[in-house]
Amino acid sequence: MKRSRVLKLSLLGTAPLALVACGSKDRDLTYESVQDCIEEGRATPKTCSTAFNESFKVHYKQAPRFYSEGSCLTEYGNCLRYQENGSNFWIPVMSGFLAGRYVHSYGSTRRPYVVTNGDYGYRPLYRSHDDWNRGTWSTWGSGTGGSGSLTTRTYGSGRSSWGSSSSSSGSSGSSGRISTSSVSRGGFGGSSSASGGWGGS
Amino acid sequence: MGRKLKRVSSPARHDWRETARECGFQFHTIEGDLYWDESVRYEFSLTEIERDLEDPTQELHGMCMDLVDHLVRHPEKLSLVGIPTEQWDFVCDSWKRADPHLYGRMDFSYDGDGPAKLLELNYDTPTSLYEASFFQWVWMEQMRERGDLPQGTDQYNRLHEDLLEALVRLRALAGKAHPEEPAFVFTAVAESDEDRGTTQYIQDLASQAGFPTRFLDIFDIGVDAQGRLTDTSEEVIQRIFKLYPWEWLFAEDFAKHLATTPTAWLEPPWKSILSNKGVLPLLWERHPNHPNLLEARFEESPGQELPAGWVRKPVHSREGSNIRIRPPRGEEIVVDGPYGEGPAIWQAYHPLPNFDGRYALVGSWVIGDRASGIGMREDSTLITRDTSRFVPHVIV
Repeated sequence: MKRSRVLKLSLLGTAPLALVACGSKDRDLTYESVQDCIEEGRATPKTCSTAFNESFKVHYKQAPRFYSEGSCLTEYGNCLRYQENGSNFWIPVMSGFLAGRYVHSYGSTRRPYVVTNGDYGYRPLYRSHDDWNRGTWSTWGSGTGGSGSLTTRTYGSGRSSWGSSSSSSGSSGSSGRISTSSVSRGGFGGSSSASGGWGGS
Repeated sequence: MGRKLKRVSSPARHDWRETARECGFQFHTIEGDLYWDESVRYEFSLTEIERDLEDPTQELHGMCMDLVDHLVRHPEKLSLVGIPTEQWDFVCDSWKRADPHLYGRMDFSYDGDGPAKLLELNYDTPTSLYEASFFQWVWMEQMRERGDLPQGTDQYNRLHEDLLEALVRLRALAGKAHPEEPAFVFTAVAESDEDRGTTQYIQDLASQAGFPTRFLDIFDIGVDAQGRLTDTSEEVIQRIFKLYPWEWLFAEDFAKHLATTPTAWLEPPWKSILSNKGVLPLLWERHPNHPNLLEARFEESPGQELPAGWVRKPVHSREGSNIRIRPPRGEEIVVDGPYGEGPAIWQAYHPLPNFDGRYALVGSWVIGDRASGIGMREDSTLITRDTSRFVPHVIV
């Protein structure tokens, strides 16, 4: 497949692709077990079991891979060894699954949808140490992968401006807000009016 | 050999306008003219996509990155691509510390017969992203669901997933999210529906990736006494996405603060090297006769007579403005516009393929560093402009 498998927009909204339930709980349908899924009742029991089975099927393909158990364990609590084409990898255990996506539309109508269907809804879920702290899940989409090799650089390998700013402190790597007073505004934007007000190309 | 790429008529969804509205696609009609046109579609084979577009895009992208690296090592050549001397350090430092980038688009002339030819690069402020990534995808899914396209139909379009993945990587680079984190500011010319829409789309993806975000009209950017850029809540802008060309920022009043502000930019400053036509002769010089390149050279002096069989493009021009085409035979085509000043390049004439009276252009996207998908544009003239129609495609 050469296209995205899931489209989700939180602000713009999306078209109803497969409407099965309009839940009032504005979150994705994420569960640790089929039992949890059935008990919550937002998805049908059949959707719950299909979602689990389909997620588990792609788990080995989609899970993030590590070349050593140690590096896997630095991010995830539980890892298992997985062999493919004679190579060993470590992948996190599947801690849950996605049975559907919550999508709310943008603009005046604001109708929420829950989308559940193979291509869009079902995915294996993982919980990193960060996810446990935040109460979130992670999922990986790898795409089918194009042919040819990627020309990649390791971004942020230097003092990337993204990693830290002049005032950053602490181990988080993220900086805090900096309050200040502006002495001037309007010093950018002028060229757009000179050329008809359009920036793209 | 006849061409294989096909343009076929396609039944428009009866409710496409409504769907567009629900999807937040507000610029499907520009100044009364249709911009999104689903009454036709282009049909590619998988070989055409992979062999003729995806692989060359990946390869050309690598060549472009090599070129940036070369120019950063030889900054005296940066004037060839129109970077002002006072910004050389700003641009080169950004490459040396490996500032991440998000996206770019290559425009190809391709008719399914012979190699795709690179016409130009839009690596700083490429638009038509949302319609390619999102609305084109929704179109195909709905058409399949309704039985108007066979189940096995595919599309070369991983844009949405790849964008999200690139932003998730950026999130990882930026460290853990925390409540006191400064907003990731998104800026564009707010009054332009199209720019606003494209910016909003990327902003949406960035918030899904875990960034706190806010939109700021480019005119509202301020500066403090220490030369740091500020937003309207009087906070220093530490991370910013701009849908606004670097060459314009470099020419404006606040350009002098670029060296002092602790701002991380998307696209990063080094993208200014790839956002102009000066790249085309430089690529040809490094890779002469590459099957996907057209011969190109710098114009030696401004008044020089353009020979037949060549196209003249200013180093800095957009939306097909200020272009002169001298076909091997026949009349010269001239497009006026606001970008007439400054140096120019010549590129060998290679007309866009004509399908049923429409000239088609393939916009091939690179997200992160990966060839990710395409969007088709077509026009009734040889020159693709900002109003040229966007037409969906499928792989059959």
